[in-house]
Amino acid sequence: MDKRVSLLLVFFLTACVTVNIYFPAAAVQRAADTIVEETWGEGKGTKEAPKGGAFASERIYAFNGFAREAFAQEADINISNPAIRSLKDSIRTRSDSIKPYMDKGNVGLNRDGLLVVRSTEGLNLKERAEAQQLVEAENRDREALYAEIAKANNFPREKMPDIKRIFANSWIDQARSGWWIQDAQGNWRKK
Amino acid sequence: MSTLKKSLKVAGTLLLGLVLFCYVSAHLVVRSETFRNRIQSELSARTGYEVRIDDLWLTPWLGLGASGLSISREGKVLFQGKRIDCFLLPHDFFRGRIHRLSLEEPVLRLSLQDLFGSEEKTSPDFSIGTLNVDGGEFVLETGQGDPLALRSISLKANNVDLRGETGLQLRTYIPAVNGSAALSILGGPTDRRAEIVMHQGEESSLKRILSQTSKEKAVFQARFQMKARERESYEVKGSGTVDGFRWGPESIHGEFASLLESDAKLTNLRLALDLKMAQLPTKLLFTEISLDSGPVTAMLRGNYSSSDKTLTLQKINLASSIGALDGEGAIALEETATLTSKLRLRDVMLASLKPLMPAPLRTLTYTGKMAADINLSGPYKDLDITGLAWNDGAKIVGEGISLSQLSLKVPFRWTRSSLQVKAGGFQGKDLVLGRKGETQFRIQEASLLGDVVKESEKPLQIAGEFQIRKGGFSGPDQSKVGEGLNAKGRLSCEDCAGDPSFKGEARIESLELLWNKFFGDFKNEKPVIRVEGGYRRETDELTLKPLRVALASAGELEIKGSVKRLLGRPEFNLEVLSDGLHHAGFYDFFVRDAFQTVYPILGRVGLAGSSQLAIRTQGSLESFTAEGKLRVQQGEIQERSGRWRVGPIALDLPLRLRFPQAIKETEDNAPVGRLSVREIKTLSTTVPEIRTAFILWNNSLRFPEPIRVSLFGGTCVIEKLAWQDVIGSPEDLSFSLRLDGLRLLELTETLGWHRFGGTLSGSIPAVHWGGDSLRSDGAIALDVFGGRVTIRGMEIEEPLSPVRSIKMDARLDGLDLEQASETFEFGRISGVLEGTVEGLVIARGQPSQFQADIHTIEKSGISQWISVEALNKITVLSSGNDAGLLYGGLAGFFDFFRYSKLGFKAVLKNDRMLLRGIETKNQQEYLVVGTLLPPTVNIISHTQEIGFSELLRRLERVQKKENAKSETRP
Repeated sequence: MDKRVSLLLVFFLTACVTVNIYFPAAAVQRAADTIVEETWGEGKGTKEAPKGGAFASERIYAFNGFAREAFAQEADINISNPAIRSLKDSIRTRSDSIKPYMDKGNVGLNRDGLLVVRSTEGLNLKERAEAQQLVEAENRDREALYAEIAKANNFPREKMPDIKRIFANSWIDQARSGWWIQDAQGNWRKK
Repeated sequence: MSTLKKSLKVAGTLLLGLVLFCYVSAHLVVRSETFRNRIQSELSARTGYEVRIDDLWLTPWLGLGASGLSISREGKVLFQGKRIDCFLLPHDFFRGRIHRLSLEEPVLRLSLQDLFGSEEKTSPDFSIGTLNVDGGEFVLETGQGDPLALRSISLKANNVDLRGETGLQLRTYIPAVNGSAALSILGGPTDRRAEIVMHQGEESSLKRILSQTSKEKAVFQARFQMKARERESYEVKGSGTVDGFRWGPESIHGEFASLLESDAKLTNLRLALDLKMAQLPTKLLFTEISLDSGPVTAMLRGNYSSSDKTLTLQKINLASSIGALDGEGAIALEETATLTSKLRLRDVMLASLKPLMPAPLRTLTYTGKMAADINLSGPYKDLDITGLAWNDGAKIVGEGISLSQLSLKVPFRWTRSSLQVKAGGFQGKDLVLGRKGETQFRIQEASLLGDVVKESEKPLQIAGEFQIRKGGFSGPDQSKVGEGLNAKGRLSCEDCAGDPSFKGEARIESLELLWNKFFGDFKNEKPVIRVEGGYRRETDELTLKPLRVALASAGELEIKGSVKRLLGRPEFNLEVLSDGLHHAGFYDFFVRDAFQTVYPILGRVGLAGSSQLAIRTQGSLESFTAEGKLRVQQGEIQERSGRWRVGPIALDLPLRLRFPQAIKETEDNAPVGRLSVREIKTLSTTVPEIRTAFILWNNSLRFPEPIRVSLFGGTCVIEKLAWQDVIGSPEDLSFSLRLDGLRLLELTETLGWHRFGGTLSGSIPAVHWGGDSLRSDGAIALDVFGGRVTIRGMEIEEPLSPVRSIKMDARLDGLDLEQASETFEFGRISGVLEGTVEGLVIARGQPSQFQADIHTIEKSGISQWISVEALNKITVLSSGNDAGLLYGGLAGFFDFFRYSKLGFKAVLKNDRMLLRGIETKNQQEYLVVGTLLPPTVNIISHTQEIGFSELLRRLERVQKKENAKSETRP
């Protein structure tokens, strides 16, 4: 009798299935690397958008108690539609104006992947206003870009911070040496 | 014995009678008028004064009593006594001596002139054995103001005799200092010593002072020694100490030494005085000056001449930690003392002058010295003081202020209680105002040249010209910064210390301004600020009448009115006026130049015309109303290269706006404004004049009449256009739209599309912009290609965003494919087309997503065929391959093929288009399904998913092909 009960219990435990929808972080990271390269890279504009499926959210089935997690190969996410292209064009066009300020250390890249006017040393007032305008416009476009990517890929709203964080990694990884970067603790350092 | 007794009795009686007789006789003599007159005459002759005695009597002990004694000269009473008892011994008559003299309540009045008079004095040639004064009073007339009076003088003196040894003690209460003074004089005529001791006690009661207690303290002690020298001259040497002598609020400590030399008749006096004090007294001359001088040494050297009644001071020297004073001068002791002096003030520490400064300036730290040349002349109480004060290189530091180099040059004159400074100069370098971490103002060089006038009973006036070089300011976060400010101007102020009224002008020659993202270089704008107004301290009210700000290219703005509680919570009632704000200058300076780097489109647009403005604004910063009128004349907006132009624009707009929100009120009587745009012109079309009425009242902007626009041969009517609250929710917009007969030929040409005919009509009963999207109801119909395209559910997502997108659904009905294919030069296809395009999203001019189902329908009388060229282009678009070879061979004999169905189903999303045919057979997607009878054609699509970029490339190929073909056509 006891044996039967035990078997029944094991059966029910193994039969409990939880469905998780995972965020395709790797795919987003690849997309971020591509976009950053296209817009701010040295050979910007020459790289094609990755081709891939339209939807990359994968349903992964995990069985409780047995840690049997299976990961499917993540498909690339979508980073090409008119809105995203428009934003990428805008960011690409603006980058040549911003880079001199980053080279001089006036503008830095914060840990959220956004630009910050961190010093106005050596800038006249006109340049300071220009730097401020460029930084605000750039950050506005970056935020809009993340939102468009989320929309194009049906990512839920709460995944926006993840997208921003992943893009921040790309911006920082691909930043030129000599640019000012903010680390996770909020300290500024030269790359 | 009895005889002897009798004789003695008789003799005694006779003697007594004789004595009695003598006494009675003496009494009668003394009481007689003759004797009294004789005494008066004798005393007058001996003293040189007019002596008057009301009554004389003989005292029981042969003393002489008198009452109503007065001594006068030239009618001026010098001495009065209530009662005088004078006791003379018989032999005193021969010695010129009064044995005992008692004075009850005597009053002695002298003037400075009497003391220093040139008349030869007659030395009294009598002495007094004992002198008693009870309740005496000494009054010294100084010639100015109240006389100096010593009351309740008590005096006991022995041997008062200037010719010989004397001993005199005098004690008096001095109310002015709440103390008593004791004078004792000892010695003979050739060597006389005097000592003065002054006591001050806690209480002021006369009784306590007269009966000195141990609580009283000797605060002043002085000793004088008068010696007769050769050639009948005298010298008086003195020295003394002051220890805590209280004079008003201050306590004086110090010591002095003096030497006075005089001839016998006091006609020439030489004076030397050396002083050492722990602190300079507060009351110097005639005014109170409270300075922390520290130890002071002073030296006076001078002489007095009684012939010209002048005290000449050859040397005046005073040194303290404040600075040094030296000079010379003279005091003429006429009826009114007059003073002439030249003083040189040097090395005066600015820090020591703090007590003289207004309270806010006392908190600052001063480093540096100043100097002054001062000339004094005129009556003591009405001096004329002129001079020049200057300093160079002083530093001032305080909380929120620092000035590294201050130079002053102030010529001044003080006379009759009025101060005048003419052409006083101020120069400062490196002035910083404001604390660190707050807004700071910096001026590298500032100068002021001005006049200050403060006349008695009149308000303070200041007028001057100022200049600022290399000034600027910076906010705490450096987001608001001004640099390179060079300005000059003038400013005048009346009643500056009271309720000032002011007038000024500032001309800014250069200024670079950063205000958040705005940058402006005012060098070419040459701003001019003119202001006239006043300020009332009691009500904290600023009045502007007016303040004018002018920019060279933008025009002038005038503000007049008042601001109450300026330093608290300001409440304003101001009129903002302008006769001509130039749109071009305003736009170019404040918008284009400032932001075109980031928004290049701003550089491609230009404005023209001018505005008149008359707005009254009332309320506080938190809540206020702006009401008035805005008028625009000859306004114009144009693309700088001339591709389009809107204008001239005329606007006449009465308005009332409330911040931060409207109030509930009926708007029945809201005034109506007028707007007219004479022309909207593009390269290909011209829209004639548009006129409309509108109301901007209580934050609501409404167009009560339809706006009719003649456009592309048709009419566009916008109705019920309204913003409910332009301040609170400016995006809350609604209107309805009616389009009637717009010619598509002109529309497509204007938009640079393929030209095609037809008309555009429709009605959108409600368009509403709320928040992120502009949504519409109703439909627009395009009557085109013999059929109709109906567009519904138009939306614009995030219309103000750079990623705005247009959404719509479209339905195609009865379109003639032959017309359409000819128009788009797609080859030739006949047939009738219908279908739907659902969820079409257009972003940045490109379709972003849609679901389309478009296909032909059979219609009686209309054949369905397709040209080889069209087949080729469909093939290229669907497969990416050129279909030229496919149609070789037998098929090459035909130019047209029949078909039974043509169409597709497509889904576009994220740049991927899924293309399916109109029919699926054997898992093959047919875009074109042929007929049973030849010549016929089938097109099967094997590529279902096409990237958007690939689709664009294919379209490009199709167009190139077309162009190439067009060139080969005859």
